[in-house]
Amino acid sequence: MDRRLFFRNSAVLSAALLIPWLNSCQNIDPATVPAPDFLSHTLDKESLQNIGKAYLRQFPDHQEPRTLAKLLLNDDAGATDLKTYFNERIRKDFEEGNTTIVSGWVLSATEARQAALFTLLNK
Amino acid sequence: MHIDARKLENNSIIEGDICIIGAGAAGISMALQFAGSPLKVILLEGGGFEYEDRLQDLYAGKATGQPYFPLRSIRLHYFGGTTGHWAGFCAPFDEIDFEKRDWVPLSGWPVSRQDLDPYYEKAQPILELGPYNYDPAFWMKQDPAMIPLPFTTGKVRNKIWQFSPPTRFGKKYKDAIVGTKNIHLYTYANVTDIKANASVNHIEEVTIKNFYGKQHTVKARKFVLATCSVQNARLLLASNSQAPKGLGNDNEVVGRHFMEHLEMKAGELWFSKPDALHMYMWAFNTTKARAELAIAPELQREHKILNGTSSMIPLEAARNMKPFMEIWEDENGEGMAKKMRTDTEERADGGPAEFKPFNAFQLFMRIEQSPNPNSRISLDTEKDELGVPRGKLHWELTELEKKSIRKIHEIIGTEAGKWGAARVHLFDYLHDEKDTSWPSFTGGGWHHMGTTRMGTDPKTSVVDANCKVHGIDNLFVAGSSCFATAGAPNPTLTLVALSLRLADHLKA
Repeated sequence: MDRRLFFRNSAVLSAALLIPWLNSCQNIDPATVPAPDFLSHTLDKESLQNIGKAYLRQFPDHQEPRTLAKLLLNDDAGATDLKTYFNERIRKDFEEGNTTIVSGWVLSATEARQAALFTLLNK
Repeated sequence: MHIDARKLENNSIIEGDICIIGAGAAGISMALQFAGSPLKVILLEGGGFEYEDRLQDLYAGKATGQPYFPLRSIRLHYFGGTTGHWAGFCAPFDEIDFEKRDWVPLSGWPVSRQDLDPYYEKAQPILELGPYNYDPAFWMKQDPAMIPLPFTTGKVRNKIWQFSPPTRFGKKYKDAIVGTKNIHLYTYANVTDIKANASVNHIEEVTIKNFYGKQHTVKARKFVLATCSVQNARLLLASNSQAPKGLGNDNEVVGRHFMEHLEMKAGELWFSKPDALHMYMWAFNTTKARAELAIAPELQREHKILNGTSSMIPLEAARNMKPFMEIWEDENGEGMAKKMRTDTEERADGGPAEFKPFNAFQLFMRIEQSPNPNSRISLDTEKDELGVPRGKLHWELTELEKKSIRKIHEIIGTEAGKWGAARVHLFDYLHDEKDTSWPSFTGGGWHHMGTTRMGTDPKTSVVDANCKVHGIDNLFVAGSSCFATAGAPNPTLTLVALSLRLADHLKA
């Protein structure tokens, strides 16, 4: 294969992979992400939003709902029961030490992001 | 037998085999070990059998550095000592508490937990505790309502405390001491000076005084200081007519490494469903044992943190509780003793404990203080009414304490997250891991330790593995002033165990 043909084939292949991915990102509806289960059942709305605000101060790059949604649904393989899916992600976060301290709360990274997303969507 | 030193002819000479200075938990426990032996034991108590303000005033002193409670009221100056107001919490030190830990300066005892185990067992009945068994499984069998939280990885474990009634040594053991022929208890016998021989390697006598103008001399083959961490150090430093730096203080270690247990709120533990946490609750005069959350030794090593435990108080109640620094601020020792007893005893009804379920609990930390030579007892220029320079405290903490409190609760939070039904929230003062300041409610548990610490090196310790003062062949120290590190639990069980071990050593 000559070099021009290689590059043309590579570009086609990349586009073939990239376009559906970009489409899927654009299709992520942040509103489908549930609020963090434990926090939303244990705390009042204001407290939950305060956690979300604290997270966003800590991670200013995550101010866009779609950014957070993308992080949260990154390896969503079509999970239908998002609540169970996220609870399992949260449990795994704690198992793997993927935790963060936000406003003093020792949280799973996933639920901290959920709290942040909830805050952005419920201003 | 009992002799009131006020009634002796002035300048009496009292002689015995062993002279124990101080009749608190350590002194009384030791003295009773010699009951019925051929040895004549002199037990000196500076106070009488009841609280007296003028005597309590001998303990007054200044405190600098980290704000601390009034020195005048932190120890009680009468027969029975500070058991007159303790709360009865007992647990043995962990094995790691005795080990050298490279992240804890000057850690490592010259004795091990195994060396103390037989004495812990002997100490249990003296403090009116249950069997020497601190295995959570044992207590769970005694009370099926004791259900542990589902920390399954072993990183957070349940450390058991047992509860003394609490034993007021002054009441419980007065008859035993007074009724024993070979124990000669002298009340109103404040030791004001310890005199050594010319080489300052052997104690010949001590001087005792009281407010009735009487001064007497006590001679013995062996002397044991058992007057608590503050007063043990003070007396050694003040006995400086032959050794200008004080007895046993050639290397200026006496008084240093004053340690407390930091006791303060650290966070909250929130549950998705209410729980009574029976295993972790305490009702005065009812609860025999309860658990506090401890961190596994391997995690302490991994994260290089101090040892400490977190107890739980229903948040609803905890939010209305004032911190110890605000409650225990009274210089009046009797007032403080009454306040502390009232806080616990008035809640008792002796019936079975019933704990209500809550979904949020305050996490209350008790953590050791790292040995810090700058945290110390020294002498003031001001003297007390008997002419002894007053003790003064400079209390100083290090960054390791705060770092450890934060990490302990982060670990608890991570482990709680694994079972999905709980989360930890740290208090404000722990949010910023770079912030080394302490909040105003930072306080201790009135556990005073380390001022005559044990060790093999006289450059960093005052007493050896047998609690004998380095360089002086017949002077010993009993009590928590000998602790090389503070451990996680309240000191009383360990100081009684150590004192019993010293008694055995002196008998040999």
